[in-house]
Amino acid sequence: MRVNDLVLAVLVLAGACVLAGAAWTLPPIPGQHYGAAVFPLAIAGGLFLCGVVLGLGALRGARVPFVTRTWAAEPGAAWRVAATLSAIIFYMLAAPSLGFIATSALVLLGLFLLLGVRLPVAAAAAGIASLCVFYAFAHLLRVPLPHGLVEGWL
Amino acid sequence: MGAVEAGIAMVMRFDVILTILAAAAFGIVVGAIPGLTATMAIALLVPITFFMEPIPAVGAMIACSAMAIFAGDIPSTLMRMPGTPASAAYTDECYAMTRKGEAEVALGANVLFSALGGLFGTAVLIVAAPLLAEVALGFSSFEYFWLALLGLSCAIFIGTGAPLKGLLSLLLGLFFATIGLDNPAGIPRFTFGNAELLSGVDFIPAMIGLFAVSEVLRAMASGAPDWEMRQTAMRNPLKGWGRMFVTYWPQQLRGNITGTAIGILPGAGADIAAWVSYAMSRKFSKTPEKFGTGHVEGIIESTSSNNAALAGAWVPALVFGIPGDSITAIVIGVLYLKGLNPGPTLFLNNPQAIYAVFTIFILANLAMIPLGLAALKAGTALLRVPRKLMMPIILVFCIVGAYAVNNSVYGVVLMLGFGVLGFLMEEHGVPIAPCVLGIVLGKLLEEAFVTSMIKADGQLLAFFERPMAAGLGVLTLLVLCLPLLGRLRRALRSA
Amino acid sequence: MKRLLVAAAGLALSVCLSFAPAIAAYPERPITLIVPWGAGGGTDSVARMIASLLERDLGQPVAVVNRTGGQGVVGHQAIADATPDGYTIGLLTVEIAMMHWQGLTKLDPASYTPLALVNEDPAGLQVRADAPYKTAKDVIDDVTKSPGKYKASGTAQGGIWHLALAGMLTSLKVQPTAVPWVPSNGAAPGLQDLVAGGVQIVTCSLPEARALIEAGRVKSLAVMATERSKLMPDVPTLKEATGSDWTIGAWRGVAGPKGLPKEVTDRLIPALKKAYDSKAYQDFLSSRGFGGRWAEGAAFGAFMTEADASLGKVMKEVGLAK
Repeated sequence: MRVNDLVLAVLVLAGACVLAGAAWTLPPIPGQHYGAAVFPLAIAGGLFLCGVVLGLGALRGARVPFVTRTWAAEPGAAWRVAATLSAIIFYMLAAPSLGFIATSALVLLGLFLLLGVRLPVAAAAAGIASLCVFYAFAHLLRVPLPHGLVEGWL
Repeated sequence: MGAVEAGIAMVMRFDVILTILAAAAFGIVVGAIPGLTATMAIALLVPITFFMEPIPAVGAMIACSAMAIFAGDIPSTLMRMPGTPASAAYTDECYAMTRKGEAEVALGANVLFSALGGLFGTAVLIVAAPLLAEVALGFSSFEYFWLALLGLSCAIFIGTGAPLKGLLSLLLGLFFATIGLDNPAGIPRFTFGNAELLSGVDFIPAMIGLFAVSEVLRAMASGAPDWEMRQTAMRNPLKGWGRMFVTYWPQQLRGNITGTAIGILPGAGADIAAWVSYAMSRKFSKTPEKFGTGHVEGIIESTSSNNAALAGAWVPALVFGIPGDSITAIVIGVLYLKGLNPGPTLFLNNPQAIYAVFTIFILANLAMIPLGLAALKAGTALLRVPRKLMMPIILVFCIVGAYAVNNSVYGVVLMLGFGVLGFLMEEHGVPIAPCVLGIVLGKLLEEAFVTSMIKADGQLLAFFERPMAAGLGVLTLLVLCLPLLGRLRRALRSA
Repeated sequence: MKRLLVAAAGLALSVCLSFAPAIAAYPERPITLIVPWGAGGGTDSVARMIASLLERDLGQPVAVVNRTGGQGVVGHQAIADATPDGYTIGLLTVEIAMMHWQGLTKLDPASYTPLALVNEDPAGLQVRADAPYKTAKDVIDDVTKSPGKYKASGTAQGGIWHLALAGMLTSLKVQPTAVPWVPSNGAAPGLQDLVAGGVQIVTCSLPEARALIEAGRVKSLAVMATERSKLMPDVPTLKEATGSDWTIGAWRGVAGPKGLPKEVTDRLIPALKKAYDSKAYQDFLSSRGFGGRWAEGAAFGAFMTEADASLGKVMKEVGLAK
């Protein structure tokens, strides 16, 4: 999925305007010339210039369709990308109650199967990898990974 | 017995050497895990050092941090996932080498030149610590402003693709750096009243998202087929190293010097050193077009640089108790705890301890070569795992790493957002390296600018009033303007 | 037979699991100690020392977790939001009595179950060693003569050391704006800027300035406390130097989320007391130059409430509160 430079330029210009508008409302440091707003405003200015140059270049250059379907044209690609993103979101929502090991194993199992790994291999790899990661991080490195279904048994 | 021999004798004990080796192995593991930084490795060591003798305690910290900075290159090369921020500058270059089947060559270069860089930094520490610390102490926000700007100008040289899109990426990074409460004015910016956003955008989850998650997404989109390229094994490292050393010794030397110099400055550390060195390497290279395609030249210069910076950071720490980076900030605390109070008096009253520290530095960097080679062999074995299995596991590593930075789900949210952003940016030919650079340097630049303006009551000319600031300022303006002038001249000639 | 064994084992296990919490005394699993500041700072090292001592006493690992950012807001929020089961506690710092006045958060000392105050470091007034001042009074006189000329640093805008300076000036009838504040990322960069000539005054604690004082680059002219510090007994108190009654310091104490059960506090407070009195902790304090201060349970709570009121009053006076 790729938008052309003209659309990109419009997006950048819009972003620059929103940023400048938001920066304008920031209060100054009492008694100082330069405060919290200076940097965001400078960045907004830079983005605006970038957008203008990008847009002009696109107008002068060859006509490109607004949206090109690059990878999304491949069968199943969009679905697999969406599934990967959902897997991350699922982890965030489920890990606090299910615990790290169960959630991670589910995420791995789902993605393995999506990529066409055979079920026994996928199940074994998902379980072993989750246990190893948990052991390394939670026990050796003392990262407080969420506890849940399985962790209490270890 | 002189102080030098006494210092060496303090280190050459079975238990001390054993502690150093154990800490080194620990450093490699932590450094190789994305999201866990060298700083974190040291912080995890602190409670253990409470119950150690002074010399092994300090030795453990030195060995651990040196290994962690090197080990950050391992996942960066194999999975495009920088293990520590100091590796981010040349992650793409290393990963491109892996894609060409040269993972072992890239990692071999990382091992050797990290060790050499560390040794160079150590040599400087031994010879000139008190003198250089004096210079570093003279840096005020005026000088740091120019330095940060000079760092940003690196973005011109590191981006592949169109310069305009590189600038766009840099500005995006600078914008992310403005989010949160940690700005000179102490005012929450763009936080929408959210407590987590007050802490701003931590660049480690951002980096994991931009580099690693975007790569996983791309692999998932294509169904993660295995690469057709086979990895070439490095049979005799000594032979390959010899050739690299002969060909690229000037790059290596330049990286060493740049890294040490940046490391000595209290406001900048190994990560900035690596960026500057990579940009310099490309700028002065005879074959700049090869950069970004898996070319070892830039890797050599920047990997030397970040390890040299590590030793450099000890200069102000030992002489004035001022941390050169976040690692030495922790080390200073431990030095006090062990009665080795940093300061010029340490050099006078307790020289054998100083020589012991130097000895440990040398040993740690020498030990890096065998340990690093072992880690390299273990790491490249991972490349034989089918990518269909590897990619989901990398994703779980990304999640855990982003979580571990601050032990909060917020890191995972950031990682996800930046993963999508990185995926879209690369889709549109916008390079991601300048964005990371912007996030790294944005805070330093803004802080230096605003605090300088408070000190100078808003007089912009103050940036040129101090001699060192003026020198740096002129240099920065030259670097920024020369490409523009060149273009102008060409335009005039063609007109 | 086999099936019976499995069933029996399953039953035994489930019985164990269901009764375990009732039989086992707190703590039966690892405890997390949240630190709102980064690894390597003073707060972090206090936390790691306390954690390693608690660990020995409680027989369970006590993991230090740094939750940084937002000038401490994020970490303090995480402590307050934790489940009050005693398995997540944290180290509160003086900022908890400041940031709600600045409108950064709704959290205040009443959002926690106070356990124990373990340390306090008063602010010091530092200048360059080669500055022409002999006493704190000289500095104040010079500042009064040319307001706005001298700049001070030591922490972020609105941070504890900024307040130390502003409060000191107000107590001496000088406008706090007479010395503009240059925000810095902690005491170390502020001190470096002092030596580099970027600022003229740094207010921060003595242990923070110690290395540069011992290196002969910086001198401390006063300490904003009722008593002189053990670390540098030659430095007079602010009262001795200028007659001002102003005192301020950064303190740290262990607390849990609101509503910790009594069996948890009954176990933790004595354990903390033991840790505080241990030789290891006292040696740690003296080697780092940190000041010890002990208050437990309700007394720590009262201490925080009092600090909250007095800091809030001054913040309003000097215009740092919203």
